[in-house]
Amino acid sequence: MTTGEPIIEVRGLKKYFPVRRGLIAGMLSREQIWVKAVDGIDFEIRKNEVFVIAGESGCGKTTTGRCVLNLTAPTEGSIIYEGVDLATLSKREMKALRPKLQIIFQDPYESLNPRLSVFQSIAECLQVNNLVSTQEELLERVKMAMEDVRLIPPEDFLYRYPHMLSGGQRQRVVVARALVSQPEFIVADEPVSMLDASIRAEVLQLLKELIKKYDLSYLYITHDLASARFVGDRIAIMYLGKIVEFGPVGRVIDNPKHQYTAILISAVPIPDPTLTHTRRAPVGEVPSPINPPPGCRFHTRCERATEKCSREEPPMKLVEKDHFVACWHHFKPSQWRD
Amino acid sequence: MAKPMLEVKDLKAHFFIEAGSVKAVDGISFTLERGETMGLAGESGCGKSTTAFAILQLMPYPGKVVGGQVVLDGIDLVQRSPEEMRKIRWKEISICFQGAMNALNPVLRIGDQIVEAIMLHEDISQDEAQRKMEDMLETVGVDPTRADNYPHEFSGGMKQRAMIAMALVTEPKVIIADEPTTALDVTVEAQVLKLIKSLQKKYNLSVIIITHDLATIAEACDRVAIMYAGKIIEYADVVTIFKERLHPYTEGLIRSVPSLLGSDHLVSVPGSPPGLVFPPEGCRFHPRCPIANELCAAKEPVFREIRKKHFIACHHADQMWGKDVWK
Ligand SMILES: Nc1ncnc2c1ncn2[C@@H]1O[C@H](COP(=O)(O)OP(=O)(O)O)[C@@H](O)[C@H]1O
Ligand SMILES: Nc1ncnc2c1ncn2[C@@H]1O[C@H](COP(=O)(O)OP(=O)(O)O)[C@@H](O)[C@H]1O
Ligand code: SF4
Ligand SMILES: [Mg+2]
Ligand SMILES: [Mg+2]
Repeated sequence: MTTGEPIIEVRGLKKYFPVRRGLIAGMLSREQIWVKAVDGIDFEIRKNEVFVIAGESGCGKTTTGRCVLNLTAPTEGSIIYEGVDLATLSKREMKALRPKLQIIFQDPYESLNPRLSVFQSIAECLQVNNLVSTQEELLERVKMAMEDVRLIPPEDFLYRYPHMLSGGQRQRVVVARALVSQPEFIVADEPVSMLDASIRAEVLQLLKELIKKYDLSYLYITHDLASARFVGDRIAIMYLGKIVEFGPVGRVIDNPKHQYTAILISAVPIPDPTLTHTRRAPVGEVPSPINPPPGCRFHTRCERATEKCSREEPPMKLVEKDHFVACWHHFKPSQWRD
Repeated sequence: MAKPMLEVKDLKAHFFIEAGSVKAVDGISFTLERGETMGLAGESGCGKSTTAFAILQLMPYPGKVVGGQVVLDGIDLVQRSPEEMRKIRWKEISICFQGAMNALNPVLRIGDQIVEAIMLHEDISQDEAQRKMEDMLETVGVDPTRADNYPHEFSGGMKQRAMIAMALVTEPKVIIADEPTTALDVTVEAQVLKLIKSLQKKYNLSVIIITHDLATIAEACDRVAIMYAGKIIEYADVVTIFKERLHPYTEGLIRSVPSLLGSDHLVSVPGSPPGLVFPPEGCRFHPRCPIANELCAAKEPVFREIRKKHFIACHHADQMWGKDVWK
């Protein structure tokens, strides 16, 4: 259980990417155009919690995760870890922190170097940061991490190369590599979305167990609300670079306050053919993050939108304990039932 | 009873590579009734796409259909010449290929690609084909004024709609949709499935939806075939599969998926799917099965009808009732 004390605080985070334009367009107008991938978000991740960021593709989840670890330099905002603003640190200073702050990428096929053995992949971070003094200690630490992710017995896997592993095993190597330096915090960006269903469950379960064992905290990024519910403690729903709602995961999913969250949830198929659950789909498609709609970004697709919504951006406000929403006309307790 | 729309009997399709033959589809049988939607589900690499290719006689190199029958409305497609198949394909049975994003030709306008498909199969004028294309785009919910866009100007959901338009424009009776929603966001997926369902009613289509996503199956299908390592291991109506399944693999697969409604514990099936050049002897699932015994390792279970319209290949299916083998 979490004590409520934050491990990472994200304040006013923005990331704009310059849009590259053709020569002619560039000559006609000198004004730089930006993709507003993340456009002013605030949240904190508490010790020993899994904080989820969920939303549709392109809403800014990966960019947020990368900015939190300063793998992508934020355009604006700060990320406070142990009193230090990570956004102000140099690449070198960030590298020195890497053992404490790790990341697990989406695709185990891409994130493992095919020329490194399992041992080399996992050992790398310990070696680079001089975290072990002897070869024996190195091997010991690597084996321990492998046991944690149940690549057992480690001897069977140590000298295999990625192509000699199944998808589930590869992702376990990726998790072991993140764990071996005994981090405090891990960003896990869609860690199971490339895996088969029968293997996905074991990796999810593993991520959950390791929290207790290692006093870990995660930022778990996903587009899959069901897996979010399974691993997460609190969840933030993103839409077009903004957080529209956040709170305890069960409460947000069972009792969403934002129209977008409600639609996103009702669009999720339930694997039960006897339920008369009609999936609702929002009208139209997500607008471009280059020129997001003014006011509330969701107003162009929202059933509840009024004139005010297209003019004024709704502030984030508390609706019940720990549960926040940014909407001028959010659901009142009695209104969310299908 | 009317004869079924499609009957697949002991179909085998292998790929011949240096290491041996990849038994991607290895003796599968099922029937698809008229107006019915069947789901073909299973993890990646189990042979779903190959099944589609084998049905359409479109096996990519180095693959070949090596046995069995594909009876479409009374005609065995495996016996047809390439000439005859060219006429049957698209007119009688068509496919939305996996990865709609890449299946469209990037250098041709969407509308032109559809017109070309029509002209290839129907003896009508360019103008008529043009009109037909515009109608079809309208039907699938794409603004016909976007017909002269290139694929990259379409979003993922719109490309999928265009692919569906292309598969339907020749008015086939059967359509196979290979992972029609896989790369899409849930909101767009909901729109696409809704579209498929409405088109199915409108044209009384028989549909095969191929997917690895069980929730999609629960949502869209009447009957479900679960594939594992080149075999169909269970086939029944959708409620039976979700409520009264009997195969340990089906059970594990369904219980490995977290539910939006909350789940405390997920089943994880140990190990991973086998290679198909030398698949396990006996029941292909036995190395991962919690109730396997010597019989399972030695002898392949027969695919049999355990109850009316509920088919299964497992030696111990009779003892599965009400038991939790994945505790
Ligand atoms: N390096 C980049 N350059 C330009 N645009 C980018 C870059 N990375 C991401 N984007 C854009 O930023 C937005 C958010 O992307 P991303 O954070 O990857 O979203 P998500 O992970 O939620 O799918 C998208 O519109 C994407 O196209
Ligand atoms: N062109 C090919 N050559 C050799 N093997 C192939 C080829 N295409 C598919 N396979 C193999 O056949 C099996 C089934 O593949 P596929 O039908 O694409 O599975 P699915 O669609 O269920 O993911 C896999 O083991 C795959 O590696
Ligand atoms: S036949 Fe045996 S190994 Fe195969 S699924 Fe049934 S019990 Fe398990
Ligand atoms: Mg992403
Ligand atoms: Mg496939």
